[in-house]
Formats: sequence, structure tokens, C-alpha cells
Amino acid sequence: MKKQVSQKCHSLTVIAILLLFIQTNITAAPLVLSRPVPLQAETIAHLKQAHASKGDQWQLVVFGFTHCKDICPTSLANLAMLIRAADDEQIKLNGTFVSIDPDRDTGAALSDYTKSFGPGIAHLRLEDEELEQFKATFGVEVAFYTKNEGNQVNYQVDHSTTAFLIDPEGRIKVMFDAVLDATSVADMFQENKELFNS
Amino acid sequence: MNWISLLILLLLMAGPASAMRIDADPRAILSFMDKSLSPELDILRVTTDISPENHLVFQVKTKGVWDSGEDNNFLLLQILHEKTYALLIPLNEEKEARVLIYEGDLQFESQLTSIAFRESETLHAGFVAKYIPRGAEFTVPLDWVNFGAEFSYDAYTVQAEIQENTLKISQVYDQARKGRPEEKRISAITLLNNICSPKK
Repeated sequence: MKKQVSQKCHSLTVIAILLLFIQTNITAAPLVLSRPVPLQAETIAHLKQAHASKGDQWQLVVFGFTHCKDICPTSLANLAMLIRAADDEQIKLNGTFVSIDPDRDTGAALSDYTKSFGPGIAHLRLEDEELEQFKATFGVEVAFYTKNEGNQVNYQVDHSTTAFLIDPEGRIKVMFDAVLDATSVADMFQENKELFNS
Repeated sequence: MNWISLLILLLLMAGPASAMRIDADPRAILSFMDKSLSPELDILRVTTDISPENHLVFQVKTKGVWDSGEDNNFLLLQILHEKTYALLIPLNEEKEARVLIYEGDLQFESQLTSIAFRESETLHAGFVAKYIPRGAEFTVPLDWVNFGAEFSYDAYTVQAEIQENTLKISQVYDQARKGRPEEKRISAITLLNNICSPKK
């Protein structure tokens, strides 16, 4: 009897420890910032450089790399969908794909890649300190795996898939998961028009 | 389902989380259990999320329920964000779930017991604390957050003395990050970025 109770206790302890390692499912809907985050002039200049924008447009910014097999294509397909959805609602919106892997993403590769998803998506290729500052502005963290002196070609990159909706004054107004929450943002274009008129 | 099947299922669920180096996830702190502490003082984890109302929510879970704790025992959420903020709720569910907010100078390395906290005169609107099963939830308005500034958090169970408008931490029972390597300092927008979309 005592042995059975002890075995049960051990099993419960093991289960309790395993439960601690199970990641809690933290999910978030699009995050509308009631106090939008103003971008620095340098960041706005980079975004304008990507688009030759006149400055009266909303911008949708995502980060990624052209060798990405699954996440980035989905992000960009969603970005193209959102540009069309905004157009349907007379909201001027264009998109910018920012390369986090400029060593492999040449300007030509980025141009071909973004064009394949449709019109209205430009690319931005920054390097070194400029890229680091740009990423820091948006709180983007990147992890390179197996990239080293002997391997500059075949490596994997992890990054967040947050998209940033920037208003014409150059302020981050909405943050959302470009893979999971794009439909909710398309709904916002229809249902929350005052947000895009302000 | 016998317990071996359950164990295999749990192992499969736990696998991806370990592979993602959850320790480095700024959205959560998984705290080590401390058997020397009574269950209500032992913090198990802290998680962050955004509420449907666009507020930043910190959920702190302890091992045991807080039926009737000592009068001077509190759960303390520390936020380092331009200043050192201490948000407290009594470790006793029979008490009123009212958030107490104190602030001190920004001190990254200091022991909690050495910080001179004074009652915050400005931070109250939108700051909420409530009891949840085996823990508490602190709500912080996003409007308060300076997105360009560094932002870090930790949770403690403490014994504290409150006199007029000052707070003195006399004893720290448990700290969520105890035994963890020093955390990487991140900006508030990096934390939000991680909440919006975990790294893939």
C-alpha cells in the first residue's frame, strides 16, 4: 500500500515538473497603440528611400530574409493581401520588406523576391550599424544558426514576425503578427476607419 | 489513459518548449521551485500578455494558495523602466485586492532591501491588481510605457513595512529570477514585439 502511494507521489511530481516546461500559449491580437511610437527622422528617411514615398501614405513594415522557406513568404503574401484590402477602403498603404540577412540578400534578389508578391511592396537593404539601429528601433531580435567563417551560405535565421503599421506622420500605430493576425488587421480597415483617418 | 501514456504525451508537449530555449523568452520567467519555502511564498512563473483592452498584463503564479498570509507579506512586481517601480498586493486573499505602487531611483544591480521606495503620486490610473487562483495579475496601461526605454521585470514575495508614504522591504522570501543568469536588457518595444509574435 505504502509503495503504491509512493509511486503515485513520484508520478505526480514528474508530471508537475513537466507541466512547468510546457510553454504557456501566449497569443495576442493586433496591438493598437493609443500612444503611437514616433520614429526617428533617420528611420523615416530609410522608409522613404525604399518607396520614394510622398509621405502621405501608411506604411506596413515586416522583417525577413529571402532564403526563408515558410514564415517570410506567408508574411509577404499577407502584406500583399493587406495592401489590396486597404486599397478597397481608400486607405493609402504600401509595404516594406526589410532584410535581416543582407549578406545573402542582394538588392537584385530582394527586388525579384518582393515583386513576386505583387505591387506596392518595396525592399530595404541596410548593413552593419545602420541595420542594427533600424532593428533596435522596432525591437527586432534576430538569431543566426550555424553561420560562421566557414559557412556563409547555408544557415538558418530566427526572427519575430511582427508587422508594424506606421501612420503618415511616421509613428508606429499598430503591431501585429504578420502570419497570424493579418485577417484581423484587414477587418480593422473596414471596421475602424476613424483610426486611419486620424 | 494510464500514467505512462500521459507521461509520453507530456514529454512530447514539453519538447518544443525546451528546444526554443524558453529561458531566453522575454515574455516569461520560469522560476525554480524552492522546497524550503511555504507554498504561497514560492513563485513558479511570471508571464506577460496584452489584454483585449490593450493593457500590459503580468500574471504571477505561486505554488500554493494564499488563504490567510501574514499581514506584512506581499507579492511584489518590480518593473525597471526609467525608475524602479514596485507594485504590491497583499499575500492574503482575504485582504482587499488593491494595488500599492511605490517608486525609487533606477537601480539595476541593487538588492530590493536597499532601495528607498516612496509612494508614487502619479501612477495609479489604469494600474490594477487582482487575485487569481494561486497568484495575482497586475495590469499596466500601455500609455504609460516609453517604448524606446529599457524595460525589465521580476516578481518577489516579500515582507515589507509601509510607513506613511514609504516602503521598506525587510525580507525577500523568493524571487522569480533567482538562480537565473543575468537577463539581457531589452527595450519595451522588444518586449511588445515578442508578445505580438514569438520568434520563429
